[in-house]
Amino acid sequence: MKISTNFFFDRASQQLTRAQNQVATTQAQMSSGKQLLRASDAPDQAVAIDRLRTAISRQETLSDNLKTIYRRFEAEETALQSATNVFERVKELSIQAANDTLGPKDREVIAIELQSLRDQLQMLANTRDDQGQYIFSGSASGTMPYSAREGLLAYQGDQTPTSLTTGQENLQTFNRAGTDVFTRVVRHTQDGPQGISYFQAIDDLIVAVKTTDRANIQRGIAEMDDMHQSMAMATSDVGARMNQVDMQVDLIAENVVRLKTTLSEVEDLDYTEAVTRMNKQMMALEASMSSFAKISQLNLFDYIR
Amino acid sequence: MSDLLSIGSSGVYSYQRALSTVANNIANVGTDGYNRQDVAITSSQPRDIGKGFIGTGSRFDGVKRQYDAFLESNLRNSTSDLTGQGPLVQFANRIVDVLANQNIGLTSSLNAFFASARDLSTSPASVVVRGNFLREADAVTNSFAQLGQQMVDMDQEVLAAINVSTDKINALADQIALVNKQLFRKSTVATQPPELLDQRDRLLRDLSQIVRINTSFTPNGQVTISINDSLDPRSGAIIVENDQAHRVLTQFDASTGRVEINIPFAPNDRPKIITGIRGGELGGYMTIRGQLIEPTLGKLNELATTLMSEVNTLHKEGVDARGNVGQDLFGFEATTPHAAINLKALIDDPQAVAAAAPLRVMSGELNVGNARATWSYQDDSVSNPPTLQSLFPARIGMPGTDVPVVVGSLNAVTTLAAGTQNAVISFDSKEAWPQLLTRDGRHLLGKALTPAQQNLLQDLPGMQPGATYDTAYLNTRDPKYAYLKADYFIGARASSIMAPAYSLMSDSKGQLATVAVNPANTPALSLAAGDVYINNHKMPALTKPAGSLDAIRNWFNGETTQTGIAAAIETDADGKQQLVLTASGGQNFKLVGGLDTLRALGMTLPDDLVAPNDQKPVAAYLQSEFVNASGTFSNFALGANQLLLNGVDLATGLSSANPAITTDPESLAHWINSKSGQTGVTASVAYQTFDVNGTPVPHKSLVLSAKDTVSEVKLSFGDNAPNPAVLGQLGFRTSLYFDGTAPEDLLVVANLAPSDPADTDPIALNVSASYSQQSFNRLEALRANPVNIRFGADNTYTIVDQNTGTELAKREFDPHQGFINYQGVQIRFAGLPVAGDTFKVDGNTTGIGDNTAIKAIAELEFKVMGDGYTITDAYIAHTSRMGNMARQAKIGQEALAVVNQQAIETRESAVGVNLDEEAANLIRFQQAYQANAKVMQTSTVLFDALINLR
Repeated sequence: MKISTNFFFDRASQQLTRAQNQVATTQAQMSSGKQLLRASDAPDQAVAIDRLRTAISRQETLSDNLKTIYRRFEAEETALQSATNVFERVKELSIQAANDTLGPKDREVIAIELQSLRDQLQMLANTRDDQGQYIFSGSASGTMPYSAREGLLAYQGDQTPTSLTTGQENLQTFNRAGTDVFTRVVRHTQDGPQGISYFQAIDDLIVAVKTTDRANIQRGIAEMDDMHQSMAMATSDVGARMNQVDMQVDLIAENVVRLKTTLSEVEDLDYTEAVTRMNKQMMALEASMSSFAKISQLNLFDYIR
Repeated sequence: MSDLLSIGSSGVYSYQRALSTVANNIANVGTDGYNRQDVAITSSQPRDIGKGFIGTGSRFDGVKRQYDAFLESNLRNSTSDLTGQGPLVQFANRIVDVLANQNIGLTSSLNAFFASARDLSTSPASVVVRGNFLREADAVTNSFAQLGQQMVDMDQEVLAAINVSTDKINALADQIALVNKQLFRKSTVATQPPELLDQRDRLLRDLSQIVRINTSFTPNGQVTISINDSLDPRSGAIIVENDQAHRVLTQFDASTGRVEINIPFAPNDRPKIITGIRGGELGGYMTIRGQLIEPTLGKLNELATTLMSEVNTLHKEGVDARGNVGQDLFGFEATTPHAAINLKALIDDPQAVAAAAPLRVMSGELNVGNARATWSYQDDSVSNPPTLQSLFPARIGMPGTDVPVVVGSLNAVTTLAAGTQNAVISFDSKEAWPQLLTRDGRHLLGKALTPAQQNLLQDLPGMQPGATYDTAYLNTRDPKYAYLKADYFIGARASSIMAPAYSLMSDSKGQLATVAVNPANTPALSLAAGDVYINNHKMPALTKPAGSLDAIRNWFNGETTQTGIAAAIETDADGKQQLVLTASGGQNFKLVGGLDTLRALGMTLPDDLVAPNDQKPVAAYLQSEFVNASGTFSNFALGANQLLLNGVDLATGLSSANPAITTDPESLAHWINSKSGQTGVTASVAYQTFDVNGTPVPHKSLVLSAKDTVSEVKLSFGDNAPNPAVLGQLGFRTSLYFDGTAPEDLLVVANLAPSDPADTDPIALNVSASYSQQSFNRLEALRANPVNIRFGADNTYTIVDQNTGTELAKREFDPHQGFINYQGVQIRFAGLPVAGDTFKVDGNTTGIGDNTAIKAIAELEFKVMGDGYTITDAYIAHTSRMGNMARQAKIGQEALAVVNQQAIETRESAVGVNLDEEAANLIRFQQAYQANAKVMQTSTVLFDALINLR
């Protein structure tokens, strides 16, 4: 088949351009370190990269969220610890007050200490976290949970649980209602069982100590056990949750490492392969350049003398 | 001998031309579109010499242009296909690069938005995190707008390119038409100048870069061109025929967003709008719009709309940090036709982010039981029995037409849906009781149900399962003790109203004057009390004789102590008089009355007083329907405590010695007037003197009018009323009135109350209604009215409205079921409530740490929408689809490049110039030329030889 002179030159220049383009692309990949220079180079990989980035950012957000929750738990734990300590002293004093060897004056002294401990407990029940939010107020975190309304100390918070979820799974409940810590006691009266608020129970005990009402001191000591129980449960619950959050954070960190490895595999350039490719492409370019130079010099007119 | 010379010279002549043709080929080796030329040399006609034929040399037949129509058209088509692919690849790549870009792509901003929602769900009370959420919401809208704008910009670019393409088509078509014109001179293609044909083919090749063309050639080489697949003038798109070029134009239809190519000046029998354009840059650009840009913009708009409606729905179900229900978070600013660009974040106040749930349930602190409660809400509006709105559509504030209803022992009639305002439902029957009940069996209006009817109540549609019957709020007169302190009434009622009236304002000096008249000419005048008001003071009745203004003056002055207005008569020189009203302190006052009244008083009326500009009170007024033709009540008996007028028993003091009132309207009116001191109501009888045919008839009607002391006329039933007949026989319909807004769905039922107890067949009766309506949000209403659920002994519980103390429901608790429903709210218990436990359901106004709503917004990230994708995935899937198209376009381009390359190669091998070939030809023809010259020389030598024979 005849090759027209024009066509020969056109084709040679096209081929050279293509070879040069390939070398330039490889060079750009090597200087950026990325497999993909533009998304359109390999749309499927670009989409895969997009998905991986999304997954990583979700995991990192989750990790941040869990850390926020952990800080809240820490505040809660501290407050609970202090409240338990104070409460144990209350219990100690009330047992002491039940001792028959004590005189009315001694009991009065005990009652004074009890009163200050009770006030301290109320203060702890109104603890705020680093954001200024009440931690024992349920979801009504802007409302002081234990403040007197119409002269009566009643719980002002609520019991709505707030939780962190990811997709389908419920990860953590992270707030606490005051009524779960400073729980009412059930007092059995002639009218049947009756709920008595935590602070009312302590107040009743203080009055009993003041007035040396032995029956009621005994009743108060018995009620202390129930109250202690719910505080201990809250404390262990916080501890368990903190452990869980810790584990979840670790798990997420592992996940992120795994995802980042995958991302790197898709996104980053394999230098060994790239250098080899570059050499091959340069060789091809050189070959086509030198062959073109030689062939294009062939011309029948040169031989006609 | 001469033969030899002529043979030689014919050869020399032929090869001279052959050499110039080769030279021409060499000279045009670099000329674009040049077709190699060949010479045709044939042997001349031989000479018959009897014993055979002697050749006579060669003949130059002409220069032949190398040409293959098939190869040409093949090249043109492959060129069109290839150039069409170019813009497609370019734009598909650009779109993919934009969509998948880490910085401006939507994925990252959507991720950030949902991440910020999740952050907020862990610190709902934090203003900083709330602000951050709003910033990310804004960023999402920016991202949408940027992408949308990029697409719109690309679209503009493509439109411009399409315009350029059509311009190019027109330019080339003009040139080809010109070539056609020149070709017209010769009759066959073989005789046409090759350069002209070269030019024609080059122009066609250029044209095929812009659009795929369809061609046909005449024997002399003229070409007809169509830019779609048909050359038929009636369906085709012919742009060149003979020496005519038809201009093509781009037309952009902004409403549909489509681009059309048309030939505005096409001959009449041809289509103007061209379909089926493909290939070439023009086809490529049109494909880009249809397959890349439009779907991408459409997808962006769809995603923007989905995001907006999904987020807004959840946000409006939430409660913000101030305890108010959330507003729309996203909205559209209608500046462009594209939702993606119009999307805006509407909220900029962090506290207005609705993160919390609209309701909450709290167990009482001192509950002995350990039960905890959770809630859920689902609208459970009653649709059976049908609502007033569906029975009486578009009857807002108007008396409705009658709707027939069949009533038996106890039947549901209609639902007074929550939010309906000032409803009046009237029944025309004398033998059936209308009743109004709540869905929980609180009886509000009507006659207390018998135990048998109470049993039927449970099975009526719309009743709450487990509802119990209660009459504590039945027919309560004082709203203070009524159900939810609402105002409801049964019977017949009219209230005083404010009617349109005209008012005159005093001038700046506090004066108002009448027109000066001759007092002797003034006519007599009589006004009723209340016809005229000064400020808000009601003027008494006036009777004025003809011929003097004194009576009017005295009438005004009689009220001066209350009005502060004094009247005086001023007489002018002509003896004309006018009345001047002066406020004692010079203050402004106004005179209110009907237009005729003011005119009769002689007041000067301003020209602009054409429409009522004020209001004045009109006393309450109740008129019955006309009683029967004889003008007597039939079968009307009034027992004690059956019919009350404004709360006063009309039967009190009625002795059997006065039986006339049971038949005679006048006597009844007289009797009612005797009690007007207690009722504040006067009665009279109105006569309908003519029927519709103009025949006089003595129909009578009872009219009850309120005196000044009362604002209402109310006819209601006493406890002893056996049925509504006591009202119906006077010509009044029995109506249920519910003033203000219905707080919840109320049920209107009716039961038979026959005069003859044995008569238990269901009867048909008519119901009419009027009401007005405003938008009503049930959830909002529930939030505004917190309730307490209190458990009593025996597994019963009551639901009590906290604001009014109204007992809304009393039911039995089913511990196996473990939940209770109230007005669409389901309260579910974990653990069993015990007697004395209370649970409070309120609008969550203090729950700023609650994350229910914002968590739901964060979870949208994973919500699968109608198309089977989450929002982010739908975007990624579209990016991927565009990526696939880019890749396919690229693969197609590579394949087509090969095809095109082959077409070029084939054509070049057929018609291209190869220098080596030409060099060989040059030598060949040169040698032939030299040999022929030698022949000529030889003939000379031979001739010389002959000449020189001696």
